[in-house]
Amino acid sequence: MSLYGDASILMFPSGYKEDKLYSLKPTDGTGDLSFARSSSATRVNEQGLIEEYLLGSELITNGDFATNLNFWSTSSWWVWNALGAYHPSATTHKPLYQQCAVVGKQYYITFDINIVSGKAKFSLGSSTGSTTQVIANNLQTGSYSYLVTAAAEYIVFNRQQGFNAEFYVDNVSVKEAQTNNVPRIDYTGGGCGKLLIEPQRTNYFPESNNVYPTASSKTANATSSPEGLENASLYVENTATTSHGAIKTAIFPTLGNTTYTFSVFAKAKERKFLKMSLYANSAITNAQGFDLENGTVTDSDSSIEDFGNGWYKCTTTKSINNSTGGYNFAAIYTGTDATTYFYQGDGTSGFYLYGFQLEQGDFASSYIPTSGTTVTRTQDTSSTTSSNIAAAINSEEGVQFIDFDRFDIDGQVNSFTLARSFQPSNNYIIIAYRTDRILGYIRSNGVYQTTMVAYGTWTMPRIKVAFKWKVNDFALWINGVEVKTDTSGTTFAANSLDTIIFSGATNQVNQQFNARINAIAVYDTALSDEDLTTLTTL
Amino acid sequence: MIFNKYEFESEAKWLEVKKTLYITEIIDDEEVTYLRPEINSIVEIGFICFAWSEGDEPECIDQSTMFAVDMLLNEPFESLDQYIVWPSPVGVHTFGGDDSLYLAGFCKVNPDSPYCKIDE
Repeated sequence: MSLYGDASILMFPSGYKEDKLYSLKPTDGTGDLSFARSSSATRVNEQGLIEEYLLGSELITNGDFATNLNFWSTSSWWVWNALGAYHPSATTHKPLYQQCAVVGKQYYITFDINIVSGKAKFSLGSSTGSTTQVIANNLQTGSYSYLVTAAAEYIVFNRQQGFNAEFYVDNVSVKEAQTNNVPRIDYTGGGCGKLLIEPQRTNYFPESNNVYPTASSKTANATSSPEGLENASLYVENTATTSHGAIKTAIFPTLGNTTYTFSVFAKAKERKFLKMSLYANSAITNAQGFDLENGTVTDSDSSIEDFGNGWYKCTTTKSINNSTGGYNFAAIYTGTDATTYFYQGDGTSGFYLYGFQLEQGDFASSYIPTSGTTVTRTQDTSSTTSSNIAAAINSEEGVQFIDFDRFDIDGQVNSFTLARSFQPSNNYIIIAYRTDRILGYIRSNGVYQTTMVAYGTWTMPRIKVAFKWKVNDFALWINGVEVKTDTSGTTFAANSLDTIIFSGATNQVNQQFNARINAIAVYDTALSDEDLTTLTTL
Repeated sequence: MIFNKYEFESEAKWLEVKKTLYITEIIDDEEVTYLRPEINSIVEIGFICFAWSEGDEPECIDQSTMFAVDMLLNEPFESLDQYIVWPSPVGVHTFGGDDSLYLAGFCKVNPDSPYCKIDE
């Protein structure tokens, strides 16, 4: 830890808010990183659960109607009841409402409805209880949740027009939800949080948690999912002699050979073996041998990851050709053993599934929930530029360090850069990684001073890289080993470098530093070999 | 931020337009490509299938002849305006959490749509 204490810039992913990731050093805030992502995204939180929103505090008072209807406006029609707020039979508009929102802000709203007759409606509206933004019509008994951008200040419950409705409302909660531009501190696999920076990805499953059964029955909301909610489905095989499981047809876009990654969360019940199948252009591609008890898989293009509570994330990456645009599907099948997936079912055995995802690319990115359409999570970006940060970077000599978990991204140069905001393409220091190599290079006043490329197959995923710069003394360190040196070259004039960016110096396409980042540091002196060994040893 | 949907008469036409959304420079013999600052994100949807056949092995029986693309814009980009379309919210694809962005644009153009009407 003392080496980290010597850094002039130090960031462990911990403190954050919308648009911002705090650095530990400098302590005056000048090293804080701005953060942007123009869509929502999920992470694994400290409890190991998948989470989509950064939620604020509760904005509803007396949402559980514990003993009365205080703090609610009721048009003198609603009555308190042990089951919640009670709406006696009515065909006319009798609203229950409370002020809680600011127009333009986003909210995560949850509540329970218990219908006696007719149907209910939920809206946002005005101080008179009129509805100006209908969120949900024709509500029946159930628990509901919505992500809403408010166009009015009050939440409003009332009967569905056209019905003589009698119902109860209970457990109302409204919290401000931040989704876009929120840095993701990810706890996948446990341990300390890591800054998750991912490329843009689209989930081709239009209903990622509602996939049709095939030769099976499906029971929704059968058990607790990796989200911590009772929303995982149970698939039970029928008695036919066939393949049993879940299937989505018409899922692949019409494209020639393309690399896809298919992932799903699965939990054993009576059945503990799983196969993933992808079909297009009359050709089937299988990945089998996922063992949901021992957490192993036999297919070489596949992986299985323990998500706790019996859940495993099963993943396979395959090249699929759907050039004809004909019949195609993605499917999950149960097996009686690691190699048998076509058999006569017993009508009672099954397994649990949650969170289907099919995306283009070489690895499974974080879960992208969908509910009716395909959904895209956009690229995460992070950087900082200031004259003050220039004071924390010794442009003449120093060390740039990053500790991260790699993704297997083919063809992309993932770059972590110190640059000059003025003329960035001519002045920079970059640590970068590709699938099979680590790079370190310096360009000063438009001239490459050193270019180091180390090829290797370091153990996935974690890696520590340090790049030392000093006149006629450059070195690239990986996992405790000095892998490249260069004894010729100059550096920069004082205060030249004033930017940190998780991308290439000029923010080029396909140069974002996609990874799970444990720490970054910048030192204002060229550290000794002993220190660099200590700093980069896993 | 603006969420727009576009359609192009062919994939070739889209690829022609797509080139105009990037800036490419040559710096010391190195080709450097950036997305224009007005453009935030691009998702190529392709030829949307409107209807699938019945049966165990459904195939597309009504496919659009137009190539569809969804984009998030940081600012308006006028040369794309001629390709904008307004399917009912939110079409076949969305950017996570950004449905309201599309609805805002949709209701400016279609104020009488049921998606945009005040209820009571």
